[in-house]
Amino acid sequence: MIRTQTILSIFLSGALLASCSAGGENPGYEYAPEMVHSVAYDAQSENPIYASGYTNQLPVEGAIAIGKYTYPLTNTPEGYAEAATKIQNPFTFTPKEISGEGKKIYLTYCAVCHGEAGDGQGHLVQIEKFPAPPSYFTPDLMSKPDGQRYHTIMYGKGMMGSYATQIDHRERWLVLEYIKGLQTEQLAKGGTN
Amino acid sequence: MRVYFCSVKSKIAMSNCRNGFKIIFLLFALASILPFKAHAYNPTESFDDLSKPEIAARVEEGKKLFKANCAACHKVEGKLLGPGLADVWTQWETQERLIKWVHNSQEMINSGDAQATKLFNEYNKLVMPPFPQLSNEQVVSILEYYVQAEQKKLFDAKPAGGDAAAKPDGAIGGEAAGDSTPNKWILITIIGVLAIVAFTLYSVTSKLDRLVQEKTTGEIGEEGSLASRILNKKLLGAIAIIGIVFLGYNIVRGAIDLGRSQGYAPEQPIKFSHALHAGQNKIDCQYCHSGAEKSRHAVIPSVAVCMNCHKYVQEGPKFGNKEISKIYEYSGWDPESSTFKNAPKPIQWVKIHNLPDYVYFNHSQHVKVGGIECQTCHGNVQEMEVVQQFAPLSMGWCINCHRQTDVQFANNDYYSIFEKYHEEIKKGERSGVTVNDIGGTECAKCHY
Repeated sequence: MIRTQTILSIFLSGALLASCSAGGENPGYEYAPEMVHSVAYDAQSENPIYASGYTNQLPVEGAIAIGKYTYPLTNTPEGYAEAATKIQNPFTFTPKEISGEGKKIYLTYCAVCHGEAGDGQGHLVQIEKFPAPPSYFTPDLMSKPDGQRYHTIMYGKGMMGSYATQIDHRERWLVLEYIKGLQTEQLAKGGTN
Repeated sequence: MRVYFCSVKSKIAMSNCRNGFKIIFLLFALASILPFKAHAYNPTESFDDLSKPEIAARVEEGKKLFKANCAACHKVEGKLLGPGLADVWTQWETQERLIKWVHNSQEMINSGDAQATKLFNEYNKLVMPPFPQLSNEQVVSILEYYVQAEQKKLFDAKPAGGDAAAKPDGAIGGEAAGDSTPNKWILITIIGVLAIVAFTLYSVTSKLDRLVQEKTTGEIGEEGSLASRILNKKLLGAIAIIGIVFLGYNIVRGAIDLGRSQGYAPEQPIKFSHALHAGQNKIDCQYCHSGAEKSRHAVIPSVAVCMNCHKYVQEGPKFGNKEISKIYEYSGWDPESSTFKNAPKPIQWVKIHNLPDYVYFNHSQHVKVGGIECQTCHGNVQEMEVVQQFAPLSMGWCINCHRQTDVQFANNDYYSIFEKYHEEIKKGERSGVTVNDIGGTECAKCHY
């Protein structure tokens, strides 16, 4: 009988150890958790020290991080009107940057609604999940001042939300240059629609 | 017959609707007395009959124009940026005034028109762009023919097609969950049946053996107890060997898996489906995880990123508005008034991929410089209803990849300083450069 118990316990302990593996809700066991988990608070972790409970804090109002840009206009119709003359592209991009990085940004953030060609027929529009944005090739958008385009990425317009958190200052101008490229191409092809 | 549906979504729409009912009632009362055209803005015919080609054509025209010009700001039922168009025509005294508004709303407001100004103020002074290109007939096609057809749900055949398209993807999760369990039970049953068969065969043969022995020697074989028969030395030995192999395998596997969490798939506070967003809707991974190219962290998107689309998309294909209303709760968005009027609170997502604190990993290095696909390390997330950890994230796994993967050396400014390698590639002495060749397996690369 002792032998039976030995054999059984061999199987049981094997089965027990197998349960160390993770799956579903079970993250599994860890070895030396003190070394695994950061003592310092991670950027997106909870934080008991701040009243808000976040580790990520907003900068103090008016603070500008080194090398960063603050947009001077407000999210109002007046701001939008001012943007037409006040906001200019401070960068000069090479064609390689525009067709490489610029296109990448466009395809990541814009094309899903505005369409790869810029005609406002992105995938989400085609599967009728989201209303169609205007085509870039309408007379109105063809002649839209740069500053107002920038303002739109910054604060959104109509159903479009703000992309300020996803696309930074330089990228905004870069993707705008790419869109301009699409529009020039369209003009060459046969004008507006 | 004209039928109107009250949109319960907004109070404003409700009151409009009630006005609408009053007007209709009056119209009917008048119409029953004499064939009287009550006011200019009263469609005298019913547009339900899509089988009439001239009606169908105008509805189709209206639908097309609506999608191209109006849908970005208006829905038929319920308000979006502007009011719902379902009963908009009942609010304007004459058709001409509504058409004037559509053609140039700002002009109308500037001319001091009371109704226009009121509407403008009611919708947060959002400027409706002028649409001078639409002819009067086209405006009527949109606001009467199409909007009525939509209201009466004459397009029901179409959305059904949309549902069918959505279904296969919705079923992914169910199938996947259903797949593993029956397989497991089938396996267990087969093993059970085989064990019973083996045991019966064993007892039959031993019984036959005894009978043969009895016949040949004339002695009655020793039957013995069941236990003693099972626990004979040969069998015990075999069981012990199987046991040791089983135990050994599990000890090794358990020890290896310790702290790795491969396969961990916790339930998240919002049942966000990557299969729907990244798979079916084809939204780029970096649309939300926009840090992947720029920083060490791929970043869990802020709820503002959700709201880019979910101000508009208020119902999902699987859970209706149950899960999406959680986003509104977290972001403080009030869909009734279309403003962020409540206090936002953070969504406490459960972290799945967790590298130990003593390992440095940088997303931008891999995604931007290395050009590695997200799926290489995270698996086919675009097919996962619930995200699970795909890779073991072990050191061996990292090192293997660093040894085997060729760095994208060509046209990559980041690696321009490795002049010797570039020269060797040019001369044809070297076919490629692995991460290992440029120091990618040095301890201090990741542990410092």
